[in-house]
Amino acid sequence: MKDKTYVDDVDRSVYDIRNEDKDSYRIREGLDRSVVERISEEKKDPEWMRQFRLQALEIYNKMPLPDWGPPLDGLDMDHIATYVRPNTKMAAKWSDVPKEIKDTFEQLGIPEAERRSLAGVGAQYDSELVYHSIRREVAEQGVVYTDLESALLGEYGEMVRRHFMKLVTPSDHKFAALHGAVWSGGSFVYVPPGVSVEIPLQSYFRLNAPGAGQFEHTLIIVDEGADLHFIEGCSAPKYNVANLHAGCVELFVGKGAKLRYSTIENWSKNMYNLNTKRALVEEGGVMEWVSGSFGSRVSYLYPMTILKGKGARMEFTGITFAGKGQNLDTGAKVVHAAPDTVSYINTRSISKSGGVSTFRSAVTIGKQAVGAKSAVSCQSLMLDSQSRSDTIPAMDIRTRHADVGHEARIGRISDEAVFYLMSRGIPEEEARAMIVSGFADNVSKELPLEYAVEMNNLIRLEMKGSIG
Amino acid sequence: MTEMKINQLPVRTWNWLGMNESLLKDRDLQLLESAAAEKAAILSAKPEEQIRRAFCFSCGEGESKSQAVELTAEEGSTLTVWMEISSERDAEGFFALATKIKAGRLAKVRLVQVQLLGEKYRFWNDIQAECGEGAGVELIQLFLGGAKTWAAFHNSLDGAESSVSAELGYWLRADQRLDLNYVTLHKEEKTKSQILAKGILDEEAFKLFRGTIDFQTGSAGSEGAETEEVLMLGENAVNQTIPLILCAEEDVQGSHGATVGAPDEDVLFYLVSRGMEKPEAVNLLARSRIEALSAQIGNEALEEKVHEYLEEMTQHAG
Repeated sequence: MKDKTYVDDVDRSVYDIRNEDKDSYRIREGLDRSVVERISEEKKDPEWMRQFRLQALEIYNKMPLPDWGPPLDGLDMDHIATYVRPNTKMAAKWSDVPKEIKDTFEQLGIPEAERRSLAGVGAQYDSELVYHSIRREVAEQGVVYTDLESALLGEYGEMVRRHFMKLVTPSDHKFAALHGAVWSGGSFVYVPPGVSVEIPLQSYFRLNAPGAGQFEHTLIIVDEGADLHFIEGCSAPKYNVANLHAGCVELFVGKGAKLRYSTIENWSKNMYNLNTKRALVEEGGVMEWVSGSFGSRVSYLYPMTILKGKGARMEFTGITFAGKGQNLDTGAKVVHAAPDTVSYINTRSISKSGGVSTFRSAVTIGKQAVGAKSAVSCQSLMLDSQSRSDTIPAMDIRTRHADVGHEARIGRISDEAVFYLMSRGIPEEEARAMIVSGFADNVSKELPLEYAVEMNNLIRLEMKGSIG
Repeated sequence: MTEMKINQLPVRTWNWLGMNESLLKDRDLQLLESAAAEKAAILSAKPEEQIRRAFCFSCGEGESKSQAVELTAEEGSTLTVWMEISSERDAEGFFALATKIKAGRLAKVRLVQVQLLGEKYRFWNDIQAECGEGAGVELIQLFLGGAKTWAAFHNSLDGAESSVSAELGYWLRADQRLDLNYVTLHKEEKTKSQILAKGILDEEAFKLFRGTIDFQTGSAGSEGAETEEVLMLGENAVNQTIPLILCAEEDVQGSHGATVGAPDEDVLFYLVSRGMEKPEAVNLLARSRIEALSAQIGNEALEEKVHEYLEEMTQHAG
């Protein structure tokens, strides 16, 4: 019999804190015109946004579900409440946030992280932001970090209108259309030209209400020569009914600007995570994605980067951990639309206890992308034979003046590596644990220390060796 | 029927990529449906027997025909088959070739296909193979001609320690199209597969390569590897590649590697510094890829035909 290594599921106790469902308003379940109109009314939308929502609903109704990817049978839109307003208004001080909600965020470590290492924080609870703040010195640099509704209805309304769902249009796919119809919450960030935000901003999304959807919209504009690191976190307690997350992230990286967007996704295992993220990068700009996917029952998540300007670059570093009952379909897409553009996609996935992990990617190099370079590397680790791991990378290259490389590997923990470590005096159990931890290193080393620790806590690769 | 789906990916992905399947329609479908079936060719090797056979499928101007071939290698036997598919250089027509291979326990089947069709010919090539315990199938293919070629190779490694190796080469010019779908199912323990595709895309040529290694439950100890090298010469050439690795078994090793790009500038510089003109050097690099594969044909007459075809092709282009 072969030696076996058992890796524990992620310890979710802290994320499974459930608060009593005391929302002040919960829209009826299902989706039709009256629901969308009611959300628009609740949000006090300008007329263009109301019309936009209704057009998106029409597109949603006409579009089919994807005929690829994990099954969505358990998701019934007739039983999803698309808008749940918590019983509070947005606060600028944690002390003004209702105790129960504040305690949840305390236990998730958000206020502490804010004090120690963040330039600003946005905290969303169900469909609305409950807390938003930015350090004074960062605001004084002209950096705008606010909830999207305030930006939409305030002095940045025109800027929002010029960018909102221009990168991810409602006709992109069914859940982008759904998002356009019922979006609520999310953040707006504007970094003026030449401004470098030294420490990260963070938005945290918490979905507490059972049977609800969260549809936050994140819009970030990093102007010419500016620099920003934005961190996104998300979690929810587990319920017996399906929850839905169909957020949307649109990122505009200006000429010579740099944006790093880090995500640690830890939705509960009843969550359908159908999120869409996209970045547009101008000349000489840099887009870096760092992505850890640990939660959700089903995930469709493939951040896309359009390298529009000459010399624009992107790097995607991701890890996906699919455990029992999870079907996580993750990866990245990149479009090289200008000369001398560069992309690098580097992912790891781990499957265990019947979990299904799929790496899916697309690298498209247009005719005009002379001198483009692209490299894709994906590695998958299978920890048992009840699980599944698939790799589906696609490349479409339309210029002879490009260099494209791709490598994929799939396998188990190497016996040779275990033997080597054991020959150095490390017990087998520990050796296997080290190898699995090291496998996730590509992401953890890209995160600020506090988040790397959080990620390692999330993985909790406690190797309870059961040998024989 | 207005269209027919062929070369379908075992697992679908984004539809906008246009790689999930190919559609036969209009003239292509009419030609397939009207193809006249030739008498099936059946070749069988008894246990421990060794058979070598060459087929020449000569395709005439304006013809539309189909040919079925059944190759059976019983226990311990060896079957080597060469297939030449050719026509006059300017001929137009349609040829569908369907080959079934059954390799019994410890049998070896080696199939070499060389496609030297005229520039207006359409070619549909389908190979279905089954391998018993310890059996091995080796496939070598060269696609040099034809307006459009659709090629599929579906191999099922049904027996423990069975193996498959597929090596294919192509050199496409003008607006030639090559649409490929290679699938290997690892069903039993300690099975091995290897797919190596090397090609050149010149002018406005189009190539889509789908390659799937599918490690199914029960395939512990198996290994599968896909490698692709594409030399892009044409300003308007299009290369699409989608290599899948599907895995339902822990103890396996699967890998895929691809490199796509123009000729290595350092190598070109070296050749030019030795007195060669740049186009000549590029041609030499491209041709060497095909000739390396041609050298493995193992049939002098067919190797010579490939050589002549390449000579004519490069002179015609020059």
